[in-house]
Amino acid sequence: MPRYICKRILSLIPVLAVVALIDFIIIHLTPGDPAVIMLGSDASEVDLAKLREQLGLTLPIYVQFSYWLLGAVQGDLGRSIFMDMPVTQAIWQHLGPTVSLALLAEIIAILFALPLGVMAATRRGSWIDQLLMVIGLLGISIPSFWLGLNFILLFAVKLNWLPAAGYQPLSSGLLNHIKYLLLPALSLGIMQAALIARMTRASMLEVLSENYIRTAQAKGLKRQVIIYKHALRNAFIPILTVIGLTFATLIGGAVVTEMVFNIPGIGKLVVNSVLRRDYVVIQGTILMIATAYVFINLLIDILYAYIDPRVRFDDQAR
Amino acid sequence: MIRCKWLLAVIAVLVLLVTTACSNSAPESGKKEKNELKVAISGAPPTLDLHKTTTLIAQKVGWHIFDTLVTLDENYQVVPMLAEKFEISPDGKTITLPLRKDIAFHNGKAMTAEDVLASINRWRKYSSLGKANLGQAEITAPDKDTIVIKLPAPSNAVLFSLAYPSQGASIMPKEVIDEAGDGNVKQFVGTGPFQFVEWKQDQYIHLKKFDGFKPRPEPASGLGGKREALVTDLYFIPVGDNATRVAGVQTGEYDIADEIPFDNYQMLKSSAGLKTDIAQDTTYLNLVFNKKNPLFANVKARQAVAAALDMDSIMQAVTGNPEFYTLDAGLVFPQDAWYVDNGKEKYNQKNTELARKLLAESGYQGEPVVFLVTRDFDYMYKSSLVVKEQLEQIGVNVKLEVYDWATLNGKRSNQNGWDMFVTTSSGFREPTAILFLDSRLKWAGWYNNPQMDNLLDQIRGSVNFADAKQIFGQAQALYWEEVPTVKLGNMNGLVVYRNYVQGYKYFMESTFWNVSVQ
Repeated sequence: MPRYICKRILSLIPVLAVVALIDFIIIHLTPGDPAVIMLGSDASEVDLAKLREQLGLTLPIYVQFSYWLLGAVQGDLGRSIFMDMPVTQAIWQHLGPTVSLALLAEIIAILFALPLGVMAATRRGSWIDQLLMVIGLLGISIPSFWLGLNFILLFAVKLNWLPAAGYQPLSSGLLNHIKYLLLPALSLGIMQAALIARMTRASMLEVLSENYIRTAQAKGLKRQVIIYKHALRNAFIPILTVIGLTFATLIGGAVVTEMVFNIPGIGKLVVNSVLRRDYVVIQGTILMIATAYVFINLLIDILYAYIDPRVRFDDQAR
Repeated sequence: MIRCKWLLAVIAVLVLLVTTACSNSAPESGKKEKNELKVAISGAPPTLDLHKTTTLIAQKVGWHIFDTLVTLDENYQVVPMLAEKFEISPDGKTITLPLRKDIAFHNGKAMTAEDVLASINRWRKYSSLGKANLGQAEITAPDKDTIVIKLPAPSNAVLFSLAYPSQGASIMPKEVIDEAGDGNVKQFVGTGPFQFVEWKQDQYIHLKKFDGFKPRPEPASGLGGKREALVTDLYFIPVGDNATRVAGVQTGEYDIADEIPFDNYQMLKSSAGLKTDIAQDTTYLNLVFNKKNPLFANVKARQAVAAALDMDSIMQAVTGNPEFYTLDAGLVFPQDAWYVDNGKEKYNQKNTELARKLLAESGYQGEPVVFLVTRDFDYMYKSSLVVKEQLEQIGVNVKLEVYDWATLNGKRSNQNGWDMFVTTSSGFREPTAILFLDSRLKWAGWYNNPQMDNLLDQIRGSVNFADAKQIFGQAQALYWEEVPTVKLGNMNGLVVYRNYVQGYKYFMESTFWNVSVQ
């Protein structure tokens, strides 16, 4: 196992190098000028030119890339043009809200998706199954921002139960923290729940048709024990993959949802940095998101081994 | 047993939801528990170093922290602020500004002429107005309480430049300026009614009441007179999404929200617990031509566009409500002392026949006219669509290119690849501040007419206001003759706030001194 993990971490290097290069080229090919954003559109051309030079934007693109890459391998992702702080600090500041939101959304998604998915699979073809799958399809199809805006209208504006937007850190109290995250987490969680529920149903249907399930039924085991202990555990690997991928997506920043609910997370950081042409922040954040994706996938692979004893990565098992 | 666990978990989430829901403390209309003001603004400023940026959003926050030597009253006349008064010598070449005594910076240090001198010198190094009007001036501090400005020639634009709030001549401690070098200041220390506390990027900028602030004795007027922090804490919260800003003020999450879309007006106006304010003449829409490209380098082509446009249709499409716009030919707003209406016969002509004739005389052969547009600002997008349609009616082959604001800004600084764009021109309260007239400011569009530059210099050098205003009349007539841009119409702004907010007034932008909550 340790060897496998080391190998996976090493394989991260070329992935990140390619991501960094593509990321850098695309951003610098996009027209736009951070100097105008900083000084304003009424600034004189002389002042704009001076600031561009100060920011190193007049250097050849390969020189800019070399400087940035050299810093990145030493853990220095540069300094934000707009926020005037190290990119690592900016990412760190924005990571907390995103992680909290992603965790809450994922918890909501799992709590709804697993029981509903199992219920649909065990009642295959019934009206419950069909209804749940229609709901699932709707959940996938409805954009989370639209759902979010409607939640704001209903729960914040009409009922005045929850705040319309904003973020309070965990230090302000757990309940206060959750209060601000509940609506965005629900609007994100519902979409993720639909995905996970559909995967749970499909995976459960496959496992429930296996011979060992029939054997268990023949032995007279309780239905609940068969479903939850024997079937669900074996059906869980593809479900776990979907959970992992949805979580990785959320960690990458629920861009539109964070904008709608004004949550100062990674998604908002990326959007604002793109609008401000804050090149170094975009580069650093995308690199961070790519790293998170790879590590979350690695974590899922490790969890496979825990859930399914047939999956082993160490040399002894081979 | 396992099913029970799931059930318990779902119940736990539901309980949490209900608990948190019930604990929401949305304010009831008519009262506010904390003596604080939360203002939702449309974006975050790039910096609060006002010497360095022309962005309006920086001014909106920064002028609560920083004061200037002089400022503008409600009639846009220069009045003293940190200066006790100002005296102009009979020859108009020397301006003496004795400073108010016992003014303290937010760091506790007493303000002296040394700080003022350092601030003014830094400001005139970076500000377009400062460079244009005080670039050649000799500024000295003969004693610790006096500033003297000696000019090579008389100028009535100097005091206005020092009072103008955009990229304002903010007074900061000398050591803060020295520490900044060529970069931005690291500490936001001023003498204003509020002092800087914290800036959480993408969350809020927190200011608090400055207990050591000494207000002027005169009654408040415009930006001048008595300023007082009547709330303990002032938060500026950047909320980019319009719908979220509206919902936030409806629920009481924010006390004030600005830049509200006009189509929300009727709904907000009738909402309990809310007040709406129509801010008069916040900006005007302006169609800018690229005079470096052959088509619009030809004055006939520009005149053709000006002749064709129906401003009422354009402004109606932008605002959807006549309460939010006025049609006016003036390059400064009607309430300004500088206001003149010369050239008004060339405004809003709606004369398609004349437009076609002028277009033919310009030699236009139907080549594509690249019109840069952004969707980031609804008013720019909507006005561009109507302008496009009206120009197509006279035979102009308009090609819209839609970009985000940053890209559009990047493209428009390039002399090639575009022919026109719509932008807003705000806050020109004095003729020499009008960016698109003076060729030496090299603003996008690159209008270059020595006759116009000469008129602007005459305005600057004129000691008599009536004479200067008369020259401005000539300059405005020349503008409508030459149409380097086409002014489309004045636009108002919509601000909404909770009804417990008292004393809110809009003057050149939202100000939150003299504003209280009850």
